Amino acid sequence: MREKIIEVMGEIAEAGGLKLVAPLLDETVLLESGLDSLGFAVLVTRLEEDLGYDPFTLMEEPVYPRTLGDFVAIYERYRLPR
Amino acid sequence: MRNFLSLLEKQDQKRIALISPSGHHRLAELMTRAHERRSNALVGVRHAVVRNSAIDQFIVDLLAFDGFLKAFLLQPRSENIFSDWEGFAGSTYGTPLCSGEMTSWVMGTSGTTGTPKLIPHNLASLTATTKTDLAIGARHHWGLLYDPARFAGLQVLLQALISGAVLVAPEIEQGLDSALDFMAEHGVTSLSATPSYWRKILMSPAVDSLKLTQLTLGGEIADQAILSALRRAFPEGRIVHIYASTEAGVGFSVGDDKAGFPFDYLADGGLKGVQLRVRDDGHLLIRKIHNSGPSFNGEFFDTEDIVEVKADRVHFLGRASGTINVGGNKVTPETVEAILCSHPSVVAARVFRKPNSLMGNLVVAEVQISASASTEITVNALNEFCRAHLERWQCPASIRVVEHIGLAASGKLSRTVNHG
Repeated sequence: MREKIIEVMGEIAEAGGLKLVAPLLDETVLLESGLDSLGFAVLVTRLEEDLGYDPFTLMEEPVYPRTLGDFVAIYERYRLPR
Repeated sequence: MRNFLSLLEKQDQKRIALISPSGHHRLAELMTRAHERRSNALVGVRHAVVRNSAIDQFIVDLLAFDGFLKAFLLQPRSENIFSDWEGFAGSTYGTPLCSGEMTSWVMGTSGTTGTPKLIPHNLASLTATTKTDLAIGARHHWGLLYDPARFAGLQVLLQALISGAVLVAPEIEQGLDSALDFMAEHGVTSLSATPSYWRKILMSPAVDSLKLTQLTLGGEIADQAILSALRRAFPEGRIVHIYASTEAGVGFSVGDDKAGFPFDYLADGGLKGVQLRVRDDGHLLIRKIHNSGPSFNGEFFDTEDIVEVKADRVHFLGRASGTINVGGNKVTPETVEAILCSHPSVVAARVFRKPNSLMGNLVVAEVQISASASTEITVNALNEFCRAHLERWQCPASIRVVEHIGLAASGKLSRTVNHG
C-alpha cells in the first residue's frame, strides 16, 4: 500500500512539475512532501480509481492526515476485503 | 454616516491596531499618516487607487480616501483591474467629495464568467454587519489570510479596525505554514477563511499552536465534514459560516454547526436587514431590507446559487452556471471540454465536477474516442495534452473513455456527477 501511494505521488508530482522530498518517510509531513493540496486531491482520486475506494468518503468522522504515515494508515484501515 | 477616519477617532489612539512583518503599528500612527496622505494626495482618477503592496500603507490610504474622494479603486495584488478603472470612473471620480455624499469603494468581482466587474460599495454597505462593540473587539486579534483589496479580506480588515481589535497580517506569499506561525506568535484569536482554505489549515502542523475562539467560513459552501472537523479541532471556538452576496451587498451567518441554514430564515422577518426567497427553479434570491420602510427595499437579486429545502433546513447544491470551484479557482467545464475535443482522437467530451474530500471539488472528464484510437495511449496523450493547454487546476484528475457521451432530453450535455 505504501509503495503504491508513493508511486502515484511520484506520477502526480512529475505531471504537475513538482518535486517530492527524498526520502519519503512515515514522519514526512504531507504538506512538506512536495505535493500541494491540489496534488493530494488528485492523489485521492487516482487511488480511488486504482484501489476502488476513497477512505475519506467512507469515514463517519473526517480525519485530516498530517503525515505520510497517517495517510497510509487511513488507506490500510479502509482496505476493501478481498 | 461618518467616514472611516472619524469612526476610529473615538478609539484609544495608543492601542496597537496592526501587526505586520513591518512591525507593530499604533492607531495614532496610522491616523497621523492618513491626515498627511490627505494633505499630500494628488487628486484625479489615476491617483485614486489603493494598492495592496504594504498593508500599513493600504490602511492609511483607506483612512485618507474615505470621506475625501468621490471614489477610489481597490487594486488587488495578483490581478490588474486598473485598466478597466479609468473607463469605469470617467472624469468625475477621483475628485474631491461634495458634502453629504459617500465615497465609493470600487472593487472587482470575478463574476461567474471569470470576467471581473467593477462594483461600487461604500463604507455603510461594507460595514452593515460589522460588530462595533469595542469591549468585545478588544479581546480579539484577527488574522488576515486574504488580499484586503478583495471583498473577503476587506471585511476582516474593517471588522478588526472598527471593533477595536488588532489586525495581524502575515506575508501570505511566504506560504501558509509560516503565515499560521506568524498568527500564532502574535496571538490571533479570530480567523476567517473559505472551507477549502480551512481544510488546508487543518492539514498544517502549525494549526496546533493556534488558539482560535472565533472561526468564520465563507465564500464557498460549508459542508458538514469541514464544520465537524473544525469543531473537533477547536471545541471551545465559536464557528460561523457566512453567506454573502457581493453584488447585493448583504449576507447572513449561521452558527449552529450544521451545513446549510434554518428554514426559518426564509420567512419574512426571519433575518435582520435581509430577505430571502427560493425561486421555483431552486435559485436563491436575496435583497436588502431597509429600516426606513418597504419603499426603500432593494430589488431581489439572483444569487445563481441553487438550494434545496429538506425538512427544516435549506442546503446549498452549487452554482447555477455550473462553474466548478477547484480550491478557489473557477473552472468552466466548457473550456476543458473544448480543449479535449480539439484533440484529433476525441469525438466528444463531458467535463464535470467530482466532489473531493480534501479539495472540495476536482474536475473529471469522460471522452468518447474515435474507433481507430487505442484507449490507453489516448488517455496518456490526453493527460499530456491538457497539461500543455490548461492550468493545473483545470486539468481533469481522471479521464475515462466511455462508449458514448449522453445528452439530456433538451439536447444539452448533462454534467451531473457520474456514478461510475
